[in-house]
Amino acid sequence: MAKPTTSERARRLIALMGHLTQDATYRVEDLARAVGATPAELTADLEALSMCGTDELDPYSMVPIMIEDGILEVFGPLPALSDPVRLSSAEATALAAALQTVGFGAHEPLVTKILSAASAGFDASALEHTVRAAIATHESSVFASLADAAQGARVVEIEHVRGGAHDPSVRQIEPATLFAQRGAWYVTAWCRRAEEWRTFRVDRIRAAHETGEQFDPGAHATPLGDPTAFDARGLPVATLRFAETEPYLEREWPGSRPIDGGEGSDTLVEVPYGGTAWIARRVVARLGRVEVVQPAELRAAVAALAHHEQAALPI
Amino acid sequence: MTDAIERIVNLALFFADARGTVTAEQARAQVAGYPADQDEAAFIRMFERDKDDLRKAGLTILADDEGNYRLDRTATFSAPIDLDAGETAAIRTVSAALADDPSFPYAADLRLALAKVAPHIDAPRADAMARLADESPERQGDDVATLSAATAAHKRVTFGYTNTGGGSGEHEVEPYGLFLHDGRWYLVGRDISKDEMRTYTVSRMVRVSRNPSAPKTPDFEQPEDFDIALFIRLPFQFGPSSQRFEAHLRFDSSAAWRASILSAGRGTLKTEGAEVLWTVEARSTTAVLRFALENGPGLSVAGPPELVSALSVGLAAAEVLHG
Repeated sequence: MAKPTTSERARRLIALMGHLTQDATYRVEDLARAVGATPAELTADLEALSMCGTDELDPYSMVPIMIEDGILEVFGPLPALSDPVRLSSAEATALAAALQTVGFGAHEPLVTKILSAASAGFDASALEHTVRAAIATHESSVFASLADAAQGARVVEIEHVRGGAHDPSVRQIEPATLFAQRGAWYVTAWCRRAEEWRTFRVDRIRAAHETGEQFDPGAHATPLGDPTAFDARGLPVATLRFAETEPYLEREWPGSRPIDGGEGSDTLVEVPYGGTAWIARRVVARLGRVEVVQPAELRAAVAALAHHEQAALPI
Repeated sequence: MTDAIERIVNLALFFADARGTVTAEQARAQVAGYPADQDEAAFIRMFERDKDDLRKAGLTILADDEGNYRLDRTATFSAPIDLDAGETAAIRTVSAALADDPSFPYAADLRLALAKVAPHIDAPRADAMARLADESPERQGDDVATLSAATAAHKRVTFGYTNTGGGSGEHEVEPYGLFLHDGRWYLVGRDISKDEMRTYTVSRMVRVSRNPSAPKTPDFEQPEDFDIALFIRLPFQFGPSSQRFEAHLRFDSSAAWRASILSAGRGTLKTEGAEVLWTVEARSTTAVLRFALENGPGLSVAGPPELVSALSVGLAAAEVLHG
C-alpha cells in the first residue's frame, strides 16, 4: 500500500475529530480500520493531533487526547472542529457511487439524507448524469434488509426464485456475507431448509422479511475461502457443442472449459451446472447453435423445454 | 519542529475557532508550524496548499478581495445524520465491500465518507466483499480513477486502444462520463480526431493519461444535455442503428415483479391486469430472443410477428437438434 500523503493523513484526522467525544475511549485499531490506515500510522498521527491546538502556548487549547496501549482516550472537550465536517465533493461522489452499486439512485431517501451532509459543491443529480456504477438489478430495500439482518445476526425469510424456475421457494436463512461478483450482488447464508451454506443472487430474491429470531453466527462451520457466486465443486458436468456461428465465451458459462474432440470448426466445452432447468434454458436460448452432447437427461430436458416454449408462442 | 500534518490541523482549528475574518498574516503569526524565517512567497505557497488540503477535507473557506478569510460554518459542519438500522447496515456493508475492491476507483474517499457519516466510528467491520470489475480489476480501478478525475475537471485524456476487431490506435478524448456494466468499466466521450461521441471499454485502454497542462483550467465544456444513462445498453441494444426495431416482451403474473428490475429503465412498461408488457428498442433479433429465454420462465416474446417467427424457427431447431 502506498504511503499516505500529508493531505490524506490530515483528512483522516479531520474525519475522526467529529466523532471524538469527551471522556470516551476508542480502540486505535477500530479507528484505523475505519479510515483505511494501519494502527501504527494512525497512532503516529493521533500523537501529532495531541500536539495540535488553537494556541500552542495554552495547554487548555490543545486537542485533549492521549494514546496508550492501543487505546485513545479523550479527556476533555475539543477546542474546535467538534462537529461533523461535511463530506467533500470527492467523498460524496464516492459514497453516491457506492450506493448506486446496491441500487440506491440519486433520488432515494437514503441518498438524499446522506448527501444533505455533503458540501455545497456536490450535485448528486449531476453525478448521476456522468457516473453510473450501478451493477444492482435488485430492489434496494432487499439489500438493506439482508445487510441489517447479517449485522444483527437475525433470521430472514426470503422468497427466492431460482434461475430457470417459475415459482419462488420460501426459505429461512441466516445471512453471513454479502458480495458483488460478475455484475451482481449475492448473499451467502446458512439455509435452514437445505441445512447447508447456500449462495443466493440478490436480484432473485422477491422479498426478504426478518422473522424476529436471532441466530448464533458461530453455530455452523463457515465455508472455506472467499465467497463465490459459482462454486463448481461437486456439480455434474455437461458436454456442450458450440457451432461455429456461436462463439464460446467463458464469461457466459461460469466454470466451463473447452476440451478436445470438436468436429470441424465446432467447439466442445465442459460446463458444470447446479440445476437442469438453468442450463437447459441457456442452451435453448442459443436456438440450435449449442447442442448438449451429454448427459442424455439434459438433452431430453432441452428438447422438452424447446417444445414447451414453442407451444406457448402467440402464433 | 512542527510536523506538516500538525500545521494543517492547526490551521483547521485556527479557522474553526476564529470569530469573524482572519488574514494570512494572522495565520502565519498564530498557527504553529509556519516557519518564522520563511520568505513571503514561500509562505503564501504553503498557505495556499494547506487551504487546498482543508477544502479537500470538507472545510469551506471563503476569501474576499481584501485577503480576508472566513470559515463558512454552515457549509462546513453538518448535523449528525439520522439513519435507521437498515440504512446504516446498507451503507456499512457496501462501504466494507468496495473499500477493498481495487476496481472501485473511489475507495479512499469512500472510507473517509463512511467515517464521517457512520453513527459509530468504531463499529465492527461488516462482512462483505466486491469485485465490480472482474477483468484486471487493479488496472481498471487505476484507469477509472484517472478518467473520473479528468471527467470532473473537464480535462482531456489520451490513451492507446485496441478495438474488438484487433485494430490499435492512439486516442485523444474529451471524457464526459463513465459507467460500469457487466463487470467492465466504460468511458463515454468525444473523440477529438473523429469529432464524434464514442464509448470505450476501459480494459482495452493502455497508457491512460490526463492532459497535464493548466490543471485547473478546463479543456472543454460538457454538453448540457449529456446523460450517461443514454449510453448504457441492454445486451440486445448493440448493433447498427439501421437494424433498430421495437420489441414487445411480456412478463406474466409470476414474473411481473421483475419487470422494473430487468428493464433497467429502458423502454416502457405497461401494466395489463396482472401482467406487464415491455416495449423496448432492440438491434439484434438473436440477442433479444436470448435475453427473453434466459430470463424466463415468465418472460415471453409478444411481438412483432417477425420476432415471434424467428423464435419459432429457433426453438424448432433446438428441439430437432436434441430430439
